[in-house]
Amino acid sequence: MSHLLFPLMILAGIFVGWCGFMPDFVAEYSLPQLCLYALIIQVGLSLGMRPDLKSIVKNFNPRLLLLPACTIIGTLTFTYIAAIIFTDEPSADVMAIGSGFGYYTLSSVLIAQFKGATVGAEAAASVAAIALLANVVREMIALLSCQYLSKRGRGEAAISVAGINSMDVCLPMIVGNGKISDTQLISAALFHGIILEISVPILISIFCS
Amino acid sequence: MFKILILLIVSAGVGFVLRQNSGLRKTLSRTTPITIFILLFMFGVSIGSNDSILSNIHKDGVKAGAIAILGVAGSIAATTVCVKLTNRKGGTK
Repeated sequence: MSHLLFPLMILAGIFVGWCGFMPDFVAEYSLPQLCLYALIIQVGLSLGMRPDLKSIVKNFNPRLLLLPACTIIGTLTFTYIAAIIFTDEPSADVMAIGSGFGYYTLSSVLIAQFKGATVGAEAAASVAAIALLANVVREMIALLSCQYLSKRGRGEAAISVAGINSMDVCLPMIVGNGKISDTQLISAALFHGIILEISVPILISIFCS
Repeated sequence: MFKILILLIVSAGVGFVLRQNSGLRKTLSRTTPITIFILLFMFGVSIGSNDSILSNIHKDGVKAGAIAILGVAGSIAATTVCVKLTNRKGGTK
């Protein structure tokens, strides 16, 4: 349900902003910053409270690190091609956009906040808007292609394409289709999502600094 | 960067310690979407009030699509290479 409301909130905000009604609290630096900290704390608490976290840590296999590493290296390497193509955007900005891995809510607000402190709110909103669109498109591609890849026995590729969504919305499409056992796929998908969730704020802050 | 990372790690640790607290889990499931709603709304306002973003939306859309497609292609390419390499290594043992 909330996944449907997220785009609606952005559209409502765009409409309010377009009408010229700019509430003072939006222009102020402190409220969005406080909300961002609150979101990071809530993301961290939810991560720590995951009922499957203990079993994932207990059954940790170093090979599980390969998959998130492939997603990060592959995504950033190919995103650099986009940075070469779009010469009007600084390459660090394009890399920050690619570092969202489909996490459009957190990545766009992180970019808006981090860049807002250095280049100003307007320029930051422009980069954050591209990040929002790019990560929404990535989530849509993941939703459309995960099942296909998994059915063809390419469960690892399906997890990688899903990015951050491998541990939630795309998980049902990744499991139950391939040649790889579901238990293996589920733990790989959950571990992959958790590692990417931690890496999103780290990578974005590196590229925006 | 460190502020965000430290907040994430500390709150994940606190979450792990309090993992049996079902009340907190319920509260989090309600408050997290609300926080995201507020952030996305404020983000939307900053987009809507910025004429240059709205007038360049088609250009930015192309950029966003290209970045997303390249990101997905990169993920598939890196995973394919990695799976092939690890399978080959496993096969020669």
